[in-house]
Amino acid sequence: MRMNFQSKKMSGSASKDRMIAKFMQLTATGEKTASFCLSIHGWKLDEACDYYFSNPEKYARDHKQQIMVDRKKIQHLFDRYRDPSADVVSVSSSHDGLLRFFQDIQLDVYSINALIFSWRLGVVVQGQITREEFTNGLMALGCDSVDKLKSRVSQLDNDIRHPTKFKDFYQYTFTFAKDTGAKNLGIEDALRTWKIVLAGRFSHLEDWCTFIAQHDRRSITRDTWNLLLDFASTINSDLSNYDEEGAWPILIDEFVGWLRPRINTSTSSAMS
Amino acid sequence: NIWRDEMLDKIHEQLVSAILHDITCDRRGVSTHSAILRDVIHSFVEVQSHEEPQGSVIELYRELFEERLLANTREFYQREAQKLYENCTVSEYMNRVIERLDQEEDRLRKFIYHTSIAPCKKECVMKMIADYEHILLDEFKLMLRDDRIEDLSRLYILIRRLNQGCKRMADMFHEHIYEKGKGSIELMNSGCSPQEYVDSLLLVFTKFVTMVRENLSNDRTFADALDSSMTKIVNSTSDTKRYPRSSELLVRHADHILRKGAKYISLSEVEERLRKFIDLFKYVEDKDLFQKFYGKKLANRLIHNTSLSWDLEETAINGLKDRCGYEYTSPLQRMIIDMKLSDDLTKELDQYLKDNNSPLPVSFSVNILQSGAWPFAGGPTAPTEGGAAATPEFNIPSDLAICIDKFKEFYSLKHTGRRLKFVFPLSCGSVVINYTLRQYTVIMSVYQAVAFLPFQSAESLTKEELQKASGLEMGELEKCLSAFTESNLVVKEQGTPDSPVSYKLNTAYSNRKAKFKLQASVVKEANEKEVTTAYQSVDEDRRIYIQAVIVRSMKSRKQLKHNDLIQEVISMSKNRFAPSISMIKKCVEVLIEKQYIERLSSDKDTYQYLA
Repeated sequence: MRMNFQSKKMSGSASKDRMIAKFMQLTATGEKTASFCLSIHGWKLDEACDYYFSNPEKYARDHKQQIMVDRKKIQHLFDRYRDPSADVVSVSSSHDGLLRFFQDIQLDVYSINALIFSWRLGVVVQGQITREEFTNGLMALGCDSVDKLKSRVSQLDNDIRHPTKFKDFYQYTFTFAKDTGAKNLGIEDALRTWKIVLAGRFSHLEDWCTFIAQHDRRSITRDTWNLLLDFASTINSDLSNYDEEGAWPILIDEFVGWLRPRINTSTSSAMS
Repeated sequence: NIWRDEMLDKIHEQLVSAILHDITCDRRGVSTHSAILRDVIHSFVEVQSHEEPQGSVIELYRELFEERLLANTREFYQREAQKLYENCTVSEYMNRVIERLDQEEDRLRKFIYHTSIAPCKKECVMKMIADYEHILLDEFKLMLRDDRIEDLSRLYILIRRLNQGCKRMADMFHEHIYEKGKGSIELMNSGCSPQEYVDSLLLVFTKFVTMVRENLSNDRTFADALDSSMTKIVNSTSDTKRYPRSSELLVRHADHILRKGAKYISLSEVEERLRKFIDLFKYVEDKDLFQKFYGKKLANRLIHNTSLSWDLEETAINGLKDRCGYEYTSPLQRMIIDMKLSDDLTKELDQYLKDNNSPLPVSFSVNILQSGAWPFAGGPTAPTEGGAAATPEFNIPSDLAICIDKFKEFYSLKHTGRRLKFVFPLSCGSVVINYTLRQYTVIMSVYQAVAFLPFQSAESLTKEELQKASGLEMGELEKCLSAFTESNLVVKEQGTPDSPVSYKLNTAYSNRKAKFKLQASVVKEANEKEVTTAYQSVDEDRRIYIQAVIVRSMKSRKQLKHNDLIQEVISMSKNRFAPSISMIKKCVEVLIEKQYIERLSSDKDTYQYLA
């Protein structure tokens, strides 16, 4: 009996450790935070993660600068890449600070990681990072040097692992991709961005892009953009649970109308 | 219980057989001992009620008698129905069955205990009607085709006893009416006259509404079938993108009825036609389109004084109001009020002129139109509907100028702070012609009168001279000149190398009527254009209306689920038109983009009002 009791205890703590590790990976937090949040929420991983994301400050138990981040170093880093004429790191043709910066931290400009990075920094205008965005962003990422950034960049996909985080990121990319003054996003930019951010998350992505390219709409509204994620995540690939009279935007209704016959012919030809 | 044990238990079988035998005889028309029969049958119940007065008293009755009675009834009427069916026409069959049913009812009430009446009747109905339902309903089609209305009444009496029988019969009724109505739909699509269309509709409608009332007992199910069929007929459209022309045709028909100068028909006949018109109106789904047409026609009648009578106009409008409510007809009623007020105003003007001893050079009257209610634009710079350009300028003849100034003086004393805009395109004047053999009074539009007046000083004028004198813009002048030449009042003379084209008064002009209105073909074009504009603007008006409803609903409810919002919009639009869900969704999207409403981030199916 004793042995059983002992082994139970051991497996209990081992699974807790695994859970802590998983939590840390999902939320990019430290061990103290992870164990605190999990213990409050009955060691249920998904629940704890949800609660964490909705209120990170509440659970933060690790010393804010567990990895010591030097604000001054960040400022110097900024100055290395900044434009001579404005207090930003940008893609201006004379100086190209932004491209050099991305190259140095090994961030591929056309990858999803570049978008995630921009999202973490809260970049408002494409093609430039302000001093404030740069500083606050790097502090939040816990990086004050090119080396630290290189390592952090390789883990960026963790930041969007949780659905709530991904949703926030996805909605951000609309604002980021469009012209700052415009309300809506042009078709070309929309397609380009979707292909990057929804790859692997939307079974009908290719069809959607084909449909949009030949449609006469010239821009995408924020509402349609946002709802596309709901569509990708909740609608079956045979469209069986789609309700045309429901709260979906008209463009998505039209997509379903366009797609349905194509699906039916391909399944029937597959059967014959 | 001695009676039960000694008597009933031993002989009940023969007793019941004897009873049933007697009942069968009665059914066959042979007289029986009705009093005895009744007492014996009731005795089964009494026996039990003696035993247990508080409990159920019909157990014994049921067990010994009722079951066998029902079986007997069933068999009898099955045979009876078979016999009748084999030997009679369907008409006779129905007659005989009705007879049988009535007889059986009497019989049952005479003899048996009351709890058996309903089950027995049901057996009769099942065997004589339900079993033959499909045959009867097949015959129904023939009855409709051949107008056999008595048979229809009989069929109704029988079929209504079946569960959902009326529904099945009414569905066939609906189909039949729609078939008959297809002719009207074709007429509508082929460009017929309003009279033809309305006559064909009324032919169908009157026939079947009479049928429902007189042969089908005004049964609700059939009345509804008629309504839904008529709705389908009146609103059918071959091309889903276009609106059915029924609104336009009905309004033009009403216009003919309400106009002066129609064939001499009595007041009561006019009122009858109006009633029928309202009956058909209730089937129109695009009531907003109807209102547009009606308003335009009404405005025309009022302005050009071609209305038969204001009372009749009000009768018609009240008919519309009964169906659609006060808000729907209030602009129409306002127009009539404006006319009445203008009448009073004219009298006051006359008094004012008398009091001030300043008579006008010509007789002059003004109709004041409240700009919101009339289908013409009110603003000083807005163009008038129908595609006409903004009011062209012209040199106002001195007589007219005096009248206008005097009127403005009078009106500003009466109502300070109101702005008057003279709408010349709608105004007309009468010109007296004295250069012909007979004197004629010609009613023409103000522009035409202004173009004509220069002939007071010269018999023949060139276009340029006319333009200089009248001050009209060339396009407008040319329209007037073509009206003059079309009517033969003026003759166009070919130019010679020395002198240009000129227009000369036709001193030999003659007309049957001493007083007449100058027609112009341009008027017809303008009317057609108005119609096209009306169809084009309806979609936009509906979008605006739906958006307003959405904003109002969201403002008062703060939050609404998608389905609830849709239902709300549909119910609020019911009196004007039937919005499609897709149109409503488009409007929702527009409002989200304009940030009047937003989706909840936690629930994409719920909308929230943004203050």
